[in-house]
Amino acid sequence: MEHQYVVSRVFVNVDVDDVGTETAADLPETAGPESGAGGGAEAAVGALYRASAVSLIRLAYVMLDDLPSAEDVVQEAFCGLYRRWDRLKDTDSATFYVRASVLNGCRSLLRRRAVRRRFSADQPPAVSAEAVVLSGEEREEVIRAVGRLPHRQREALVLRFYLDLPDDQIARVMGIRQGTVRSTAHRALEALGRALKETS
Amino acid sequence: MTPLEDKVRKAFRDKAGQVPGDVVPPLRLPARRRRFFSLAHGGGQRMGAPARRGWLAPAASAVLVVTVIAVSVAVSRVTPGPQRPGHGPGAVATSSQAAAWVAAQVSRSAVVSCDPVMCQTLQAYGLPASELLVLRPGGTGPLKSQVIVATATVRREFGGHLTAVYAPAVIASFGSGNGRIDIRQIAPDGPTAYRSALRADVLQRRTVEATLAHSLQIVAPPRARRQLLTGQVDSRLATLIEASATELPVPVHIMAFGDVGSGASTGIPLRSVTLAGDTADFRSLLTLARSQKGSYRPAHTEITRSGGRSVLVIQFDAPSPLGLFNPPGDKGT
Repeated sequence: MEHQYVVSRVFVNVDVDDVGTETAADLPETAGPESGAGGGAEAAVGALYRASAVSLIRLAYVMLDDLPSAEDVVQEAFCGLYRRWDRLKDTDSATFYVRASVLNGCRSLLRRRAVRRRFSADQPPAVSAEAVVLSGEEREEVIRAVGRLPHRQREALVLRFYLDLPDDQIARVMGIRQGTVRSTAHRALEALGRALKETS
Repeated sequence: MTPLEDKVRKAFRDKAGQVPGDVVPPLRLPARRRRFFSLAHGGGQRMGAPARRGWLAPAASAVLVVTVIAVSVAVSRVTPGPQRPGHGPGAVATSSQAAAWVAAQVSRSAVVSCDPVMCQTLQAYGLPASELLVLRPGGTGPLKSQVIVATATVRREFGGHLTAVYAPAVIASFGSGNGRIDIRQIAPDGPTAYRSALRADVLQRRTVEATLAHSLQIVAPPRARRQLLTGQVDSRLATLIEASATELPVPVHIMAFGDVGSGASTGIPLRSVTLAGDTADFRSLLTLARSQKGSYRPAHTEITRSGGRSVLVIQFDAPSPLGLFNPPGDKGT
């Protein structure tokens, strides 16, 4: 199941009682004040989670269109960060690492979904006309058209137009060159424009 | 900003706004093994501390490499080579071929059972003792392993039970006559269950890979296309090709599939592919391949030159898992 989060080890719970409400674009570039050398990994990762969980879940939700899966991907990313905490150079690396992990998680999930859809009768749930009207027709059309783009193009659009990242950072996150970022985003917008024209 | 870009930005923000900001699940962290001493961080350095001994990790690695080379040279001068399991140069060559194949092709997570002499040869080819199950007369059978190297000694020990009970399928074979060495896949649930799982796997592969053969995003010569249409390609490899065709902006150019061992049983899939393209495409494909997890991650990838062009070889390890394309709920082997 996509939104199962099964880890058969002992857990340390970090309660989130004061989560922020910032948008993804406000994702902090440094972790919280407890993230220094003396704060301990639990405290530092917990602080980063409190500061950025909402925005990362929103990012994953925009990519996946599925809230439980988005939450799982973010959980997984923070667990990975926690395991690798000693190997990180600084708090900027932590922020970058966790965001890249979330995007990697989304990518893997989308790929598995695509393969399953193609090779089985498991089709994406149909969206009812009523739901479309209620949830903002134009937005849903755009989101559906974005969902039909190749994963890399979708990711480039989300990073550019949702996170407002500059091309050099998008290139770093996606592991491609800046030129490729520009051409991928350009192709994505072209395809999106065509798709929206066809449906209008 | 164009109207379309504006529309996309607004759609993303509205969509993200559907996630409430005040309901976030608690973070559940796994218990972590403390690293009391970390070479990679200059010996115990932690996040936020100044980098004082960054030279320690490379220096330690260099010393380790020099030591390993020196020991290898010393050992090679003292011993004539891998242990001889047979009688004469032909038997030695067969044994070496089989050991080299196992060392290069069999998954590092698989336990290999072998007779004592063959196990020594495998160790000489780099297989750790912990991954070997030494078969001795009257000892436990090979069922705790995933692969068995069936030499003449093993065939004598197990007789007809070898194929009728433990390992019905050959994944590679070397030599001939009594000196023949077969690399066999263990069937933990018995030969009948194995054959049934293999048959089902071939059928599933045929269905799935036929889609790939007809995909406009995949360019393949007739032979490779036929192999896809008849479901001869490993499920992990087919999944990676499908993912590449979905994710990469350019078509995937298949030159050939390969790496089924010589003498393999019918239905044993092809575990490697050679792709044509340019280096930039390969880089994206390698990033994609290396981001795979578990058994979906290729064992070997290599960019090389063939016929004046760049080619990328991707290979998965043996034995191929069965049932990966089964519908949810079905248990694979």
